[in-house]
Amino acid sequence: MTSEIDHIIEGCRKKEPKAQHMLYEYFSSRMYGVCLRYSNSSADAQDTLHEGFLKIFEKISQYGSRGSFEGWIRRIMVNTALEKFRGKYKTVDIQENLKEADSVINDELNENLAVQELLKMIDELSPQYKMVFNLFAIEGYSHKEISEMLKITEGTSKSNLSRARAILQEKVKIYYKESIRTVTAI
Amino acid sequence: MKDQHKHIDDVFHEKVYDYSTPPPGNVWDDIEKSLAKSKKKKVAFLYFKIAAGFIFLAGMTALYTKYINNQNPGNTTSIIAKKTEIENERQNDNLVQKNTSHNQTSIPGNKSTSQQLTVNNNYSSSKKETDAVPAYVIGQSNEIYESTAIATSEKQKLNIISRVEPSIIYASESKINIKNSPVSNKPALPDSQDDLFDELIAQNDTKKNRDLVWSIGGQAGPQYTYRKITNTDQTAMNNNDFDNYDSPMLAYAGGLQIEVEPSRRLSVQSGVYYSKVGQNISSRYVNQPKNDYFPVESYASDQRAIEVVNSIGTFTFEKSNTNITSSNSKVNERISNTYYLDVSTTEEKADVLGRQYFEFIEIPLILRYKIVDQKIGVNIIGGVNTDILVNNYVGVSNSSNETIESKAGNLKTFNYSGTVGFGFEYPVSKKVMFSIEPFFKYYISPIDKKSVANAHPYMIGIMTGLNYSF
Repeated sequence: MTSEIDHIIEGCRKKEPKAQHMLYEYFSSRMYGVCLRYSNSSADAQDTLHEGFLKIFEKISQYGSRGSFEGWIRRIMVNTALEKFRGKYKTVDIQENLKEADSVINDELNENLAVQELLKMIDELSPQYKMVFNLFAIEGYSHKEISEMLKITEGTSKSNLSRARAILQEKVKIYYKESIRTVTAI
Repeated sequence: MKDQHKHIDDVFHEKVYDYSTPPPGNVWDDIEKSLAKSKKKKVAFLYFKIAAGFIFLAGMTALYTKYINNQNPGNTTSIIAKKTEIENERQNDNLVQKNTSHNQTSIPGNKSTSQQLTVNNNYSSSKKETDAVPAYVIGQSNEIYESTAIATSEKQKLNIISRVEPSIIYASESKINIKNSPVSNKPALPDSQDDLFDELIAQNDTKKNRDLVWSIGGQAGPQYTYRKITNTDQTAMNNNDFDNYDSPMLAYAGGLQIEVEPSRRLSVQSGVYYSKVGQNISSRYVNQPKNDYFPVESYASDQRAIEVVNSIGTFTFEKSNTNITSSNSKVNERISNTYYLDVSTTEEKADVLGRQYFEFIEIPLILRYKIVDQKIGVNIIGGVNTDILVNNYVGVSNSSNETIESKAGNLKTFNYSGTVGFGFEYPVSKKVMFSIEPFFKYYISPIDKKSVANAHPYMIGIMTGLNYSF
């Protein structure tokens, strides 16, 4: 499979339309999933996917062949979504003094949580909370990196994350009525 | 049964990270259309570049042709003929005065025994005064022989003189050597014609001052060098990281130049220059948090070299120099398999200083236009340079002051840059000019073939030099 991807990448470097289509077919479903998480609607997600793939085809010669290609594509999609976000929304630097709640969900509930429900919960967050939660919890960026990406302070990033977690917890709680336990850390 | 719990972040991450769903079919159709448009734009831009190239070549050819025409000795034939024609008119005038009863005049002693001589007797011998044209032939050493001199009217003489360009007269001055001329003294033209002739010569003297002036010289000076990152999509790396790691470097440049002045205010310069440009790539403590380490594109235990993503080119360090293992605390996993490398060979806290530079041989094509034509002249400068990469270097010092050296890869050998600036010049002597020129130079395209940053080096510097004109 690795060699097949390498072959497709090489074809894309040569701007071969067939290779570009194959690359799209190979990654479009996963990347559309990423785009949906960062967008407000499926139309926005399709726009992001469109722009992201154009960048991939344009910049593929810059890919160094050693790191994860999917990771590289994913970063392009996330960055494209970020650019659209920055163009559409003005980020607000507000730091709230929230108690850091260490939220946990038990395994039984975890097994019953459907992906679609979780996506819907994330989608219902405000744009900035959604962005911070996606970048930190799903993608694994640090607060320092998020602060640079969104042009906000680290404190705001932490504050947004706490607020997003609290809202998501509440949504899970409402959805399942009970069985969630919150441990408040000092 | 004991409850097992997971953090809410982990729950979302595990279920959502790999979520996938097929996009609607029209997305690929739209992408295909956009790709086709982009291709058309690129083709149009290519045609534009080709057209610009042709225009440039045509311009240069026109300039060159003009220059050749000014210098071409082949034109001397007609020049000399015309000059001689004027001289002959003067002589004929005397002959007409002496031979008023004859329409045809033959010139005694105008035949030479020299083998160089060719005489066109047939042409002129049967001509009448009204349509007579004197014939002249130039020998191999630019010697001129006249075969026939026929008197013409005063009106014709004036017409001939007025048709001759001042530059033509001047160019022939030093080359004419009339042999066998029957009249060696200056002809007695009427005063008005003498004045006209002198005026033409005087105009020609002015023209002489505007002839091409060549000069050679040398320039050298310091330059502040750095690079501009133009990739804004922040794909593989966050560009802010590069800007945080890198800083400008002081370097120098210099070379030999040759310059030509087609006019008093305009000059065109080329030459051969050496230019060193670069940047400081890091300055920090090795044991600071992971975000301050070099980002490493990939790492595997069986690899012998570590590839480091850099703002200009990608460079490698041998594994023996890098102290990197998967258990080494100095290697930290970030996200998506990106690692950070501490290039120090020791565990000690110390400054790590990195430096990267490039050496170019540069061939400039620079235009200077004089906006202040006083004793201290002021020029505005603009042009393009071809920069040929001849050396590149990366060096990082560890705590023991040992330098680990490397080279950046994937760099273009041929690069192109643009220059703008000002020049101040002062005549040290009649032939020698001293100049100081602050300038700004920017590389038109990125110097690396494959980079996440698209770095365009630029320089701000001051060149000082001396020029000798001849």
